[in-house]
Amino acid sequence: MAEPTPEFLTELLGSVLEDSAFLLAEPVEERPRFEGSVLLARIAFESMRGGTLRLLTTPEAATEIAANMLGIEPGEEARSSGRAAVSELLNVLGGSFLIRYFGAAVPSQLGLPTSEVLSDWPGAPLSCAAAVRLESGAPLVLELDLEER
Amino acid sequence: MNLLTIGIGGLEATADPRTVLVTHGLGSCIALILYDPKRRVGGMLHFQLPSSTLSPSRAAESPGTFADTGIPLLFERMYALGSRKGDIWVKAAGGGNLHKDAGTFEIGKRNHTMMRKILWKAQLLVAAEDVGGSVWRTARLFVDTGQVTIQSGSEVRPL
Amino acid sequence: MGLDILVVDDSPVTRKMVRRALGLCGLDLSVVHEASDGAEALDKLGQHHIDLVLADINMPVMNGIEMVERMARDPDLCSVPVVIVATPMSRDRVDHLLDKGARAYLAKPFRPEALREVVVQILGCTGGSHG
Repeated sequence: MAEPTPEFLTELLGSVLEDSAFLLAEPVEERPRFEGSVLLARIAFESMRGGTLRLLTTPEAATEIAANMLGIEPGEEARSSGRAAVSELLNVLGGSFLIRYFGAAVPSQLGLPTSEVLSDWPGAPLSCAAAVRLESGAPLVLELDLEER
Repeated sequence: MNLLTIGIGGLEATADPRTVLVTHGLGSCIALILYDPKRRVGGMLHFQLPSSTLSPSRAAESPGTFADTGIPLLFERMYALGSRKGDIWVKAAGGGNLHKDAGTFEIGKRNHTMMRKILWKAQLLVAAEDVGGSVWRTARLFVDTGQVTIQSGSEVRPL
Repeated sequence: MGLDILVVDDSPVTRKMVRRALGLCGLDLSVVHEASDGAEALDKLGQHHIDLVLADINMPVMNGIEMVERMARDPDLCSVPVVIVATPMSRDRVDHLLDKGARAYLAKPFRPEALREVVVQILGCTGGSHG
């Protein structure tokens, strides 16, 4: 089994954003800089190899994600649902990652997503990452930390 | 029978039961088809791109080119003919990926995604769709019956 | 008499999405109950008549697998249909759930049209289909 690549994560992130939240995203080569608050969501998994997926974005993007998922305007309800929407997005990303990377025949276990809002960029990126920008310009970064074989 | 052909970026709605609305050349474009069986009012839009933010000036000239400007406009045309949202069903065809070149982003899928976003926000479900793949399509709506057919090559199938 | 449906998911966003999608199904809905885990769901099932359960798997306190297994063992609950609405999962888990009595599995992200089709089929109602 080949190691996952940034291209694999980019395709995963792009397709789940479209299917879950009707969002069209473009891959970006350079890791985006986050100005201000960062919403960080994490989910752990166990399969042939264990690991963690991490999703980083802005609170504004979280509002946009929530609004699209709920089919509402990006107002107060979407703002208050933003963190939950990003957690759920990562939940779907996690399940999709397990199936696409390890296969549907392999028993896998997904943890529960957690999230926190940080005042700045959380630090060193994980080993494999994908970055996209939404039409609004908001960045999303999906990172994977896969245990050694 | 009146054949009313809709071109790329075009949209029409009619309450004339003698009309057949038709649009050709659905590759990555999508035909959105609306029908109100209670009043026998039908409409069709042939949109090419998902979002008018790509070109606001073009959207002003040709709102039917984009999903986000064309779809609401088609519904307005239906309402102007007396239709009510709750009585309208929605069908769609197209959204294919006809260009297999590397680096070409999938406009057909993006068109489909934007269409679904708009309909979800409007609280509308799609009754049937014939989308994706790598075929060209022609869509027809027979306003007297509400029947929709999709043609690819010589094959004609109901939707 | 309208249908009473229970939506079980730890994500409030998913519960809202499912509730919204149910509203578009053309069903005669009476009450849509919500629960954020399997234990809360079993409490609600004990208090209310429920016609259909739509449940996630990955939840805190009690997950959907245990909830389905407990419902299968309970003579009062074993006939309540359960549709799993969960992230893509391995084949063995899907098979296990269907063996334990879940009627269907819808992978997230679910299309509201697919939810309608499954719900209408299981409840045997017309669901206001068009076209």
